[in-house]
Amino acid sequence: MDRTKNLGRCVAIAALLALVFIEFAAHRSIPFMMDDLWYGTNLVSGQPLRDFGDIVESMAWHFDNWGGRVITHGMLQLTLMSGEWWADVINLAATLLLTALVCAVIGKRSLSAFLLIHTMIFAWNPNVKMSMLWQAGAANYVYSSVWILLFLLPYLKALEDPEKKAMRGVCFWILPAGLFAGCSNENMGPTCFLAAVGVMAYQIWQKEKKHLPWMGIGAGGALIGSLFVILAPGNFVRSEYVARQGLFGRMFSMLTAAADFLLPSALAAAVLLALGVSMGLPWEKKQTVLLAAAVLSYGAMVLSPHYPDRAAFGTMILCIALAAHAIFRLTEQNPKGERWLRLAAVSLWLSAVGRLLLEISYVKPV
Amino acid sequence: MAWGKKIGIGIDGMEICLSALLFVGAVCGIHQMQAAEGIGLYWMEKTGGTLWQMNALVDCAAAGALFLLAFLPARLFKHSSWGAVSRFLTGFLALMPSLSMSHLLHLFDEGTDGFDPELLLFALGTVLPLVAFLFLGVECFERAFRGWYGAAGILALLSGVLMYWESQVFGFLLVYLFLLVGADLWERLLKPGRKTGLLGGILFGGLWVRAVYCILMLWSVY
Repeated sequence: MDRTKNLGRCVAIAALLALVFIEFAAHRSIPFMMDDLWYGTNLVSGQPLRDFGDIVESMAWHFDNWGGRVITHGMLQLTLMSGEWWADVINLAATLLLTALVCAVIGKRSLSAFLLIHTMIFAWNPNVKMSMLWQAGAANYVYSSVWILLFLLPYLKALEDPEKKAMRGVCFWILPAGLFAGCSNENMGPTCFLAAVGVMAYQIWQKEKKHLPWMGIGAGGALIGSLFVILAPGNFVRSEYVARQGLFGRMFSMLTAAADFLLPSALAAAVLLALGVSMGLPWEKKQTVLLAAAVLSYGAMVLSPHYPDRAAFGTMILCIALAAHAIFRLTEQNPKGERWLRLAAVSLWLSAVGRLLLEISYVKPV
Repeated sequence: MAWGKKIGIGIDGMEICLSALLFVGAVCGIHQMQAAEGIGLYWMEKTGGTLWQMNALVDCAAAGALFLLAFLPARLFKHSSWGAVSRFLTGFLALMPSLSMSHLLHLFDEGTDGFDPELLLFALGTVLPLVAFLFLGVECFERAFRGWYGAAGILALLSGVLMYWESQVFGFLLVYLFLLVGADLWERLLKPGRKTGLLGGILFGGLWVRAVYCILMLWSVY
């Protein structure tokens, strides 16, 4: 039995290392391009970025002339200034951190959980290149998802066990985390704020007031960040350059997002959650928060002028968290079912590796 | 479910009505495809019939083939209800890759179309994991394995290999084999007394929305 377990562990480590290696090769194969080339300059003077002062100046210009995602684009400019090699290392680290945060959110800290979730992020992503490998995409979606999960994590932990002590130093870091999460983008920012308010309302209803002070600070940060990103004067300037969609076009883009961009992750999450309910597994409060956040972040895109496939990344991460949580609960109740989990994992791993290799081969044709 | 019961058609009846709409939409899409690709015209030249007759014949043949592809699994697995047929039809229209009719026509005289990795990645990343989750669900209630599943698995692997030569047809075959297994598992999950109505509804709803999207895409292309 121990031998089989060790073999399984070795296979999982080898699969993870191979995936991470190919992932890094894919990052290396995509150079700075498109918006990266513009953000690589001081947006006021048009000269290449030289120091932090250029970034601050660009952030102020961006807020007034191109939109409120100044923190995200400030981060992007920092990574662009560090050069392609370091940007790729940071992107890889951010993706691994994001996977670790999903594991922490679902309360499953194991190698198999890490591997499965990391694989899902690539296999179920509607556009790996533009959301993870392109530098502007990584900053907008991968880094933002890190802030969002970091912000939601203490709320989910407090919701799960209100008697337990809050996470270390949460009073200090929840405000910047809230600001960063609120500022992340136009759909996930307000979603974070509403999720935090929902958890607070539940705590008040349950007369659990222990965690309310830091929860209030965090929600305030998310609110300020969301208002900052939505009400920035630059949004109104930018919207003049974006082609407007009619009602039918808007409805079709929402249908495309649901039926194409989010199909594998959302359908798998829905099926697995329903399977858990059918099996009589108790519904957990954090499932409600994650599900509501996924629905809100999808629904909020109705207000956006367009819904590109890469914008589904945040919602996909929430769906992956829901699906992975349900899978592990089901297999814990029925250990025999683990073989089907392995089949799904192998299939997803092949798909993830295939998609990354495809990205590499598109850039460097044989 | 309550609404369906109130008007006396039940959940199966609702699913049959919704998938019948899909069937009509898909047949319209197939008609547009064959008209655009000149399949009726081709047969008109071959047989000497009129274009109207040949178009009607091709449409009927395609509609019949679509119906048979959706109907056969229910017969094969002895799930003798129209609800089972409608569920498989919905899954079929939602997940099957679209197969060009002109490609079918020239299958044997134009050689191969090369390997399309997107099809294989879709089968591996979406269809097979969904089937694995259905296996997981059925295993929670009963032993899921059946002898022919092994044969379907081997055929799926074989068609995966053959995709290198004839991508469209074998990509179609690969996904169809996964769907066959998935359809049987889905029906077994929905057995009475299992409280899996919610699961069935979500799966049907999700696939129905996807099928509508696929049909709209087909219409927009042709």
